Amino acid sequence: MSVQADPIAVAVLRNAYRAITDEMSHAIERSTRSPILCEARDFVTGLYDEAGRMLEQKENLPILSFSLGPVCKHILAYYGDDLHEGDVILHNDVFSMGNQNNDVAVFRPVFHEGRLVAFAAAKGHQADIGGAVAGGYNPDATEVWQEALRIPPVKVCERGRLRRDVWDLVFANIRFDTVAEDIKAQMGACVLAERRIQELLARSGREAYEVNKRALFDATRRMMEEEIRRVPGGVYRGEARVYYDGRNPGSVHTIRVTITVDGSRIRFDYTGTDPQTDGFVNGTYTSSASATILTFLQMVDPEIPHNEGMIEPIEIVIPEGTLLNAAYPAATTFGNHLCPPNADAIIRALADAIPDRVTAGWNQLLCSLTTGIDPRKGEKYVDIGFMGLKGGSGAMRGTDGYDHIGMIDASGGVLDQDYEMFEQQTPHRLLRHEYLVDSAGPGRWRGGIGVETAFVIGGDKTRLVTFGDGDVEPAFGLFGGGPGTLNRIALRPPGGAEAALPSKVIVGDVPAGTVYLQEAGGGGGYGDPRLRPAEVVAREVRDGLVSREAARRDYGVALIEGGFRVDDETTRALRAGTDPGEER
Amino acid sequence: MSGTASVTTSDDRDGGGAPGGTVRVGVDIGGTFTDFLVWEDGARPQAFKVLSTPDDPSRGFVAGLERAAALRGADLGAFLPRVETIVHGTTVATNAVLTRSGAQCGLLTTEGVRDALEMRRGVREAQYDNRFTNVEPLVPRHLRLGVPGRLDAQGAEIAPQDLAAVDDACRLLARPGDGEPVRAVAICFMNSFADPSHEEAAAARVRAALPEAYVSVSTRVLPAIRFYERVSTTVLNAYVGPILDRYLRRLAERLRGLGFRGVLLVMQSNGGLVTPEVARDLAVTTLLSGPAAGPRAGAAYAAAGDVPDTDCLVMDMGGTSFDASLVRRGQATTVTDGEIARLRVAVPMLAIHTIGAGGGSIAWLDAGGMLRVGPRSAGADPGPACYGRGGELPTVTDADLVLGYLDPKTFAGGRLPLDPAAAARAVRAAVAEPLGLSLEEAAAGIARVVDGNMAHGLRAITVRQGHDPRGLPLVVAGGAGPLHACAIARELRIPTLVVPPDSSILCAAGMLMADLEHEDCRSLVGRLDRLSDGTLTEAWRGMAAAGRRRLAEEGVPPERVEVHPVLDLRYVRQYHEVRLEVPAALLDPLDLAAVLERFHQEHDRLFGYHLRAEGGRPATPVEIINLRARAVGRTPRVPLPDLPPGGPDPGAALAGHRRAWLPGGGGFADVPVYRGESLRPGNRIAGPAFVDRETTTLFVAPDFAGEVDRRGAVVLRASWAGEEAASRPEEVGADAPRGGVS
Repeated sequence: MSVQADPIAVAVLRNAYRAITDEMSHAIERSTRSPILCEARDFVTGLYDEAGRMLEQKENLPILSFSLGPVCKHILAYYGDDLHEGDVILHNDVFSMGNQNNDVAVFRPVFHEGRLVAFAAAKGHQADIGGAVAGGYNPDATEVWQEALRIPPVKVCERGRLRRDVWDLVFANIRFDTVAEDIKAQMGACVLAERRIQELLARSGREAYEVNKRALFDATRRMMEEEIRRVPGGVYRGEARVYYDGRNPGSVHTIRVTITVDGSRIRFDYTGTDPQTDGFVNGTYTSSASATILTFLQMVDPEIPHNEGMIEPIEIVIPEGTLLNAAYPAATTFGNHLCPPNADAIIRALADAIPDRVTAGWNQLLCSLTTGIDPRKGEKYVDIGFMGLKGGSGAMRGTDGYDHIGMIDASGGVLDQDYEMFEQQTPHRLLRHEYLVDSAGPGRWRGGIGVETAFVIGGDKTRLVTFGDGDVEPAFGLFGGGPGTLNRIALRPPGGAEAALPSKVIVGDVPAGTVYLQEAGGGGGYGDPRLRPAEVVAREVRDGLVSREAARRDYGVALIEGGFRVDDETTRALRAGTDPGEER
Repeated sequence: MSGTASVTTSDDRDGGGAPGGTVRVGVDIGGTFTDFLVWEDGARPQAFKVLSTPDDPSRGFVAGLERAAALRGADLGAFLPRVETIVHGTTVATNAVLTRSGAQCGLLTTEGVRDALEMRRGVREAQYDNRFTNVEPLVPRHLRLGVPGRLDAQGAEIAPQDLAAVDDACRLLARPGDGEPVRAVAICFMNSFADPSHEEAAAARVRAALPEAYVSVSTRVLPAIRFYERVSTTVLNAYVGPILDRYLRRLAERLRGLGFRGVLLVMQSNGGLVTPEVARDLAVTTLLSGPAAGPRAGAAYAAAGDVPDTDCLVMDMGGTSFDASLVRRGQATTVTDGEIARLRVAVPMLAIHTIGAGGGSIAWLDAGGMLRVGPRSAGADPGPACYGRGGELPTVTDADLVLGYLDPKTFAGGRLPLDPAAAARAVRAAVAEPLGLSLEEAAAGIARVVDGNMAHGLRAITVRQGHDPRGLPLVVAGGAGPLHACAIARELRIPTLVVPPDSSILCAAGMLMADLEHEDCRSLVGRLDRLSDGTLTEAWRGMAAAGRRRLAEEGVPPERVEVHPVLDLRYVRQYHEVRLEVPAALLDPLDLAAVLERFHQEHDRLFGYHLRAEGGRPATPVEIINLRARAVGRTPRVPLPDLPPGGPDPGAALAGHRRAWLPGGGGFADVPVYRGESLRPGNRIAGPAFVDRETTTLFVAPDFAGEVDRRGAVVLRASWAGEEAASRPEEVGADAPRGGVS
């Protein structure tokens, strides 16, 4: 007797997967040590079936997520039937489907009645992964070995026993002891997932489970196909630029995408993208493909479940040797951060085809990583400045951009460090973290607002690495909307003058007492700013988000002297000449 | 907990007991009805409802007490002095947040971080939805004021507090650009968890400058590290504080004036009770005051009073809102990462999911012509169209009346006759005619939509969390719950329903089962193995004694006091703690090995690993962050003898028949109506049938049948029950739902 899919059981299964990946995420957030993980949530969790097909993911930082399935398939091919209950596999290798060296994944095969049924996986950005520079970001690198310890799949546990020799080999090449403990936390999350999946199967039985799982894939694929059908068929092209590869000042590199929409399938072809660079500004296949998927997901129904059915109708072609898919043994640590320009290229390609479903440009990531010694503890620390990097998102038709959200690769999934935890976990002291006035790209719908961050650097042997973009070209506006502001990082040494830093540099021996300053710009606006309701502009002037001058200049809105009410007459005059029919 | 509290709805004056005994009253004020449970020594408890009076909820409160007195043939002046305890749950704070009608607030914070409240650490909950917007902050930016002054991470002063800047800020808050002075001021400074003195100094200046304002100080509301959680919780406290404060003051005055000399206690979101003084200062701890009593009462009924540690689902459909909770081992989970309307609340609360769906929910057509029900409610005033109080919009209750589910003459014991013509008019005008449906089809459509909404609410705490609801009994509560329960259960394929006799006032009953609870927290940081001898034991003894003293002062006799130690522990270098409740015996004297072993186990249960000694490596050291003492003053349980058994035939309770619309295309049929008060244990009832009680009506759908249990609850099983998974599901995802209201 064949088992029929039961619609309720399918829904329960889907949500059980989601609850499991949520529980894994919660466990990692609550039990890790590095602030990159326990404060910012720069990690993801996922479940895959016995063939490596995605069942569900918790995508705090989606750019990490969409490489887990490909790595899982690689592990299956690599080990064949040499996978056993209690095995734990580590992986980070960017030349076998890893996305970034620092993003280390743990996989745990899950068995039910002796048969492989699933993999639980957790990948997190580690505080260190060996290589030449603590924390992993090395703009001077030209080869992978200068960046990191490569971990092609390796079993650190076999049949439930820790392989101490392998474990010690891995962690002998990593600077901080806490990394080993954080990997244990990722392993623990996978144990939780194993318990839950085994409970699920014990209750439903393998046969019904498989039938329902397949029904879930099919329903999801149909949803995605339906969404793709809503994009007018055709071929669309878009470009975006990447400035400076970290080695050749003034260098400019171009991403080119050709998008073909044919019925219920969509293809992203990056043929024509510039060749890979000499430095670390290079994508890996999975970091670039993740960027493509996560950008397109923002243009479809956000309710589509995240499993293999979702990605089946999407085809991605990225020629090897290009900026987005560098050939062995290139340096690639910057690759995740090619997501923002990649997203820009896709948005530009599709804006005219689906003007109601795209946003204007998002503020691109510009970030810094500090390492040093915390004199209070006598210990080394690593901190990525998540709170400083959160600029605004692009506006879309009907909705302002989201303020202080950060890079499109996370879309609000990673968090600022809590201020008080920041002061516990680093020797720095926060001076300011507030919205940045006049940063949003003006528009009928304005871009998201950026932020300014300032802190006093404390401690000894402080080294700072900058990486990212948005310091040359701002987030673009759409359909009459204006651009956001640029990103900027600067240092003001004690008694010295403020000096801006370029992106992709290392600054050593930063003296204690230096003030770190960062501006994360706003997102691009959408539509003519002179059509934005004047009272909304006036309220933002009252709240100190828009200056009086900008209200007048960008929005044609004048306020009464000394107050925050709209000066109707002047505003009308300022706005006269605008064609109200010109909605976009 | 004994879990023996079961109560019957009783309107019989002979149930009133001998005059002169002490009386305890549970009062649960909802958006539409105020529920009462009155229990007097040696008598059967009485349950009833009165209409809420949202403009001044204390009026409904007093009206109910008058009724309790009248049921005893007494007047209020004679009755109130006999009332020993009133336990009160209130949605005053909840509704202020949900309807955004809290106090205009100002925020004083450290210069440079005034946007933390609005930024919410940069989260966007829907990552792929670019139309998803941020939450409007409770304090607008121009009233969020930074003042100079700074402590470092260890609490040492780096820059002194600029009190002149505080005074300037007060002047601005007294006269904000567009009008009225603020009614509340929240104060939250960086690193104040390490030293509250800057906040206290600022608070003194604020009180002097704005004597009318409610002042919410972060280190009093939530003295814990993490700035965002603290500022969010402190602002919420300020936002609801003035409203709750005024309400509770008025209520206490009014009760005193009427002769009440007993103790008034307020239900907190964590299911514990506190005095009104504490509740007024910590208003944010009452955000789930209303529904927090539901889970415990639900578990008591699901277990028929004998098995306190039971698992069940509890649904409570009142006039305005629908609350759902998942009870495991007799308790709903307590969370400290709760939210209300996407605003962070870091004080402990039970995981209860609330949606706007109830008898008063208004049916309307959206821009696309789709039928929608709620979340707007007609509440008690004007109420559903059929109340005849001026309401013209159709509600769920109007639909129920059109379909024949309610008896217009006996609703609310006949004290609130319903007007079927008004109900029909409203349903016809707003739904049936625009959609081109018959009156009955439109009414059935309203019921289907609201049933779907509530099923979704239950799904959020079960399926959504990976729990299969089909093996858990669903305890049905709320005035409107029993009418809709079968449909909801069918939607979720839940085969077993438990409908307590006083289901409509479940939370009021739960209030008389709740305990007084205080949690005292003391920062005690250090490696456990390096604490000097006796440190922990001594600290614990002091805190336990203080907890006992406090409860004694509140009149709890020593034999009903328990104090439990809770340790917040973590491995060194971790940043989050594990909350570990241990037996007091392990601390006095300290059994370090046993405490560590429990920690390793709990860490493994929660996170899937532990760092015990392994393979030649030593165990990772464990550090303590806080020592807590949870002092519980056990409340005497409301005892209730079993009802005298009857046979399977419910004929003696048959009151007649009512024409009602049957689901599934059955059209109208004559459906037998039983009088709930006359049913006896063992009576069997098969659907379709009604069980009418004063405060509620149970509709037994054609696909359900069941029996009255020994406490008077109707336990129903679905005819399709055999087709469902028979086994009780085990845990699928351990993560309990986040507390709060969305």
